[in-house]
Amino acid sequence: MSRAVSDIISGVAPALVGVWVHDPLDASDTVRSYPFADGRTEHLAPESSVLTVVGRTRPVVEFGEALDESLKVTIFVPFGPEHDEAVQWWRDAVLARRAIFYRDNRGRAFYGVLASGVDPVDGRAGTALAVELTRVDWEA
Amino acid sequence: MQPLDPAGNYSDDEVIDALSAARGTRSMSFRYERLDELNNLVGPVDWVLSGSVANNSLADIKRTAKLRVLDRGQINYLRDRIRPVARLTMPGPHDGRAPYVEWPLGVFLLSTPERTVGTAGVVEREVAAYDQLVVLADDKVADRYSVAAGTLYTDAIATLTFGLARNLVPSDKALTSAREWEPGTPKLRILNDLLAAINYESAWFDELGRLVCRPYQSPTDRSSEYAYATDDKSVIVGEAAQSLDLFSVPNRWVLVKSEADEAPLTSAYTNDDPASPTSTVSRGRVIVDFRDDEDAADQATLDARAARYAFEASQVFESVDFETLVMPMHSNADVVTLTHPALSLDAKFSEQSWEYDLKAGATMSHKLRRVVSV
Repeated sequence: MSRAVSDIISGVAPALVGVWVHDPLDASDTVRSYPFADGRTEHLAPESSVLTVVGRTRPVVEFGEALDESLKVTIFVPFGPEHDEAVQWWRDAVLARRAIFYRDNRGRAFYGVLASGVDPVDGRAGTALAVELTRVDWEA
Repeated sequence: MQPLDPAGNYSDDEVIDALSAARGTRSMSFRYERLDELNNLVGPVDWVLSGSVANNSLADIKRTAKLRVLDRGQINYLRDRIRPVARLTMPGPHDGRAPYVEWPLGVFLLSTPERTVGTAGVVEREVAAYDQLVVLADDKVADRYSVAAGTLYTDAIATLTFGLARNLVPSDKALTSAREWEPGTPKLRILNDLLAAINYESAWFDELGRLVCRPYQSPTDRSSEYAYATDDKSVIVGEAAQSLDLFSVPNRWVLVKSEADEAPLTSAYTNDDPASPTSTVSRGRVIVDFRDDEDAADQATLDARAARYAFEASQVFESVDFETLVMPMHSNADVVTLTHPALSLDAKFSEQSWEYDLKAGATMSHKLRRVVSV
């Protein structure tokens, strides 16, 4: 058995910029990055009900185990050689009706579904995609 | 009623604090287990979308459920059984104990309803589910079924329910004459006839799927198993309704057991308690409930049955409907105390029926009957 040892290279890992996404069933062929992502808005709420109880001044809140977690983000794809392919990726993701894996430079990483689709809006410099990802459980 | 913590990890006070959301919140969830036809655990299931469970202590089939399930073709409706389990998250400190308390909610057999498909293409079923009493109700004797004179009632019950997990309290009472049932009689009817003859409760299955056959005990002689009150630990929500129906409640019960080869037995019980609004004294007249087709092991059993009929009929006069947070420890015919000053109620009741949806934030409806001395 032979083995080779590479040279030691010093360097800095590339910073994650913007948004990275991939199809978890085919990560290597589907991974894409979108460096221009803005307006990220998170929603995080446990399943809950507020119940007014007879004899008590203040209500009781009952929680369930479900967690409603979603993220809204606007991704901008400038016109250029990769524009059409980059926008089409999102169209394909919607049509595939599957979860995608989302990461961003703020440390978010989760499986999400485009349950409400995407809304591409063409402008002078490119296309803005309003995306809402609903977080789901995903078993490999 | 089930124990407040069936696993025994937490004290009653700790569980009551969690159930009543003493710190303002509580967390409740439900899971489902799949069992085989012998009630052995097969595994958890994740295809139940929602459901509800109900118990009616006066019905033949006491516990029922409705389940909305995803139909992925993995359910064997003829053999599979489902056991819902309620889980209450316990606030800390847990001190090494499980961070929750769980109550099984019954073992249910499934019906096979039509499948429905929505616009999204998801196939679902609305499944009606019944506890194992349905097995006995559907199983009818093919030939004339007889039990010989001299047979212990509980032996006859054990024979009839052979193969079922059960909690059968032994009795030394024996049939004084042979008893027969027509071909086509449901085994549940035979079972309940045998139980009634020795003044046992009608048959029911507990939350773990065991048949319970035990002597009837008047709720007046039972201690309250849970106290509902509109205090700082109240779990009562919404409106409460109290109803009175005094019109046709009897105040004398006459039971006759007549067999061709035996001297007849007669038992009469009169409610002459001045404190009872339906008594002969309060009404000023007598309303007789006469039953002449009774089967009883002996005079004492017949007397006890007459007293039981009197008790059950006389508690009809006051019933209360109210709602609470889901209290999953309830079982069949529990005895509870209800204190509700707005309705001038502070009394012991027997729980006739209850029902709730299997979801967090649901409310539980209770129908209680007043426990009175007659």
